[in-house]
Amino acid sequence: MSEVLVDVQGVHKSFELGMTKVRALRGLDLQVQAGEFTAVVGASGSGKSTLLNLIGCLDEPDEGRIVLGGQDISHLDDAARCKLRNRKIGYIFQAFNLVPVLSVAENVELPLLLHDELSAQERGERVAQALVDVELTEFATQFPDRLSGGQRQRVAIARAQVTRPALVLADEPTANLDSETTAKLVDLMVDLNQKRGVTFLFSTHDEKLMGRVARVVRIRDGKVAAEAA
Amino acid sequence: MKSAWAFAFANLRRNRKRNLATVAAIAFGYAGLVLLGGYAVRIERFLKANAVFIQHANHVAVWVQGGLDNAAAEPDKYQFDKAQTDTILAWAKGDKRVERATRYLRGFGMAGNACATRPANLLGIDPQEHAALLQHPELLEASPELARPAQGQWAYQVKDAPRGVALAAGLQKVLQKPKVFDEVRGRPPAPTVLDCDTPKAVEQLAADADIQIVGQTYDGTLNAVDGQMVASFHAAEPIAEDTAMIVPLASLQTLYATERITYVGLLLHDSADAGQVALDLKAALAAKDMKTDTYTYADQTWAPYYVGTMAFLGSMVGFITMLVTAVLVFTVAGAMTLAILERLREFGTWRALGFERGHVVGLLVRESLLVSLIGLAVGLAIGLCAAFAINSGGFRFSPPGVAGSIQLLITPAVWACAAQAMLLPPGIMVATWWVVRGQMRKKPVDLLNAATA
Ligand SMILES: Nc1ncnc2c1ncn2[C@@H]1O[C@H](COP(=O)(O)OP(=O)(O)OP(=O)(O)O)[C@@H](O)[C@H]1O
Ligand SMILES: [Mg+2]
Repeated sequence: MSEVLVDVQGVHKSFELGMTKVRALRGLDLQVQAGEFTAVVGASGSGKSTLLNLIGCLDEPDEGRIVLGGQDISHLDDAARCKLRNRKIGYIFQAFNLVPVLSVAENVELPLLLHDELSAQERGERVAQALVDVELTEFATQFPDRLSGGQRQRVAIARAQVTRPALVLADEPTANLDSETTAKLVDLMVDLNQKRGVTFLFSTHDEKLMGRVARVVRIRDGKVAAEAA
Repeated sequence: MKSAWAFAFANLRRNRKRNLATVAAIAFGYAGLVLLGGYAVRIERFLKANAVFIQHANHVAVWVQGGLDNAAAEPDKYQFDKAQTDTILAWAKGDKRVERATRYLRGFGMAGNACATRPANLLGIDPQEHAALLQHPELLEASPELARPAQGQWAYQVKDAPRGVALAAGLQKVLQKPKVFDEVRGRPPAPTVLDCDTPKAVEQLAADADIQIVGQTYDGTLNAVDGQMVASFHAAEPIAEDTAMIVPLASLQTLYATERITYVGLLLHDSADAGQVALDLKAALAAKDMKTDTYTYADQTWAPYYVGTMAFLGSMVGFITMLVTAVLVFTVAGAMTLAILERLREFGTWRALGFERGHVVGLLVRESLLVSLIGLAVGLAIGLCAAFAINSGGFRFSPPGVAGSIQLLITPAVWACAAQAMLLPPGIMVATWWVVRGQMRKKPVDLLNAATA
């Protein structure tokens, strides 16, 4: 039996673009079970990023509700959002978004700095384990500019799950990578999903990836259009 | 993990060129302020030494109450008699803060050369007491040039001139005495009666350094004393240049047939005590039924030239410091604005990882504080080196009241450098905070999508 981790209920989101109003999401519903590995696909501009940003508490919906782990996160104050992002969610970005002046280990440690309950030693152990998971232990002291794209994204994956979040969000994590690296990266995510039970929700354009994913959600015109298992 | 400061420093190295430019702007701006402050400190020392030792303000001066306004008109009533003078001198001797006391007698008279007379402002001071002032280390350190006469030697240095007087250069000129006592010693004296209205007079007048001083005793009879012009000097003001004359105290007291003196000047070990000493002295004398006015060298009424010039100089330096600080603050704010715009996506990442706005603002404020501290440190080094170079260069200039020129010196003081640096870091921190805060109001998603870097 599984529990609902993410519950998106009738969410609307529009953007002002000059004089026109772009309706990115138009009453979207989606549920993600804890431990699921889900891909969100759809044409460019269909609203994938918008959806992930709302679930990730980086933006607020105009209408509707988003419940994460039983908590309504649609309208929280900034401090509560920060805490939620730090504790419950991990992010993997298309452009990796590593901090260039921090070493690989320091980048991974970054979100743990807000975990006052952890000692420096405990943080170090967590970072070491996360780097083992992404097979980058020997790069711990390197700086991001010395790494390949695939390695950088693995650092990002380590950073995203070092806090043991309930959910890892990845908006087109492989768009900047070649197909071989992409395949390895997806293997890694699937592996983490199976070994550690990390819930992944990611968006992609890449049709080839979809075969490796347990659940694919297709979005069209701001709504869930179809679902393939 | 890096400390927050190490992180800030690492970030500064990311855009090395721009941060170097910012550091350079701060460094040169501050170096300029250090030089300006050093110059002001130097001028202050110079003017203070001039006021205290050369204009005879001393650190503290004590007058009969109302004397500053009335002593000239009613010298009997508004000057100290012998007993009062001794009371003051005894108090000064008993107070540890007082280094020495000097008696002064001021008055009017006519200075004559046997052909013509000119009005003169007479300052009577004992040559030995004058010597102590002129040889004071503080004066010599501030400017040895101030202690030197324009021509000749001070009375205490000329042993065979018992009534050696010093004339301001303008007065010397109108009295047609181009040579001082030292230069005419041993020459045949001029005839007793001179051919005043003939061309011969010029030569006859120049043959000796004798000056007659004519005045009125306090009870109204005309009196005269002789003096030998041992020195001439430059006065600080144009009027004084044509009238000022320094006379041995004893000679002047003889002229006025009095034992009175006009005021007593006190030199202190530490001029910072001046205000308190002035109060204590006044109180001590009041307890002995002496009504007095005491003044310090920082009193506008007593040392107007020093106080006025310093007020002007102080506000100039203050204004320029504010101006430079403002320019630097805006420079850094501009550079920070660019740096921030380039790094919006990074800040979006920090926010996504759970860091609050204040955290990111703190990081940037740290960075700009670091830039300003590095800039200040470099600027201090440049300023001190430049001051050293200027001081070694031996440039000279001629301020009023000085015989010849004095060396251009820049003497930065710790307190001045600190005061001038003080405003910059807070200003820069506030400017950075203000710039960052505006950007950090954005939602994380907008930071992450910002089309930069
Ligand atoms: N900040 C914004 N301002 C204005 N319009 C926006 C903004 N963000 C998204 N949109 C619009 O909302 C719509 C959905 O955008 P979204 O980025 O969610 O699409 P997407 O599915 O992620 O597309 P892609 O596959 O190209 O990344 C688009 O029409 C887009 O132009
Ligand atoms: Mg997108």
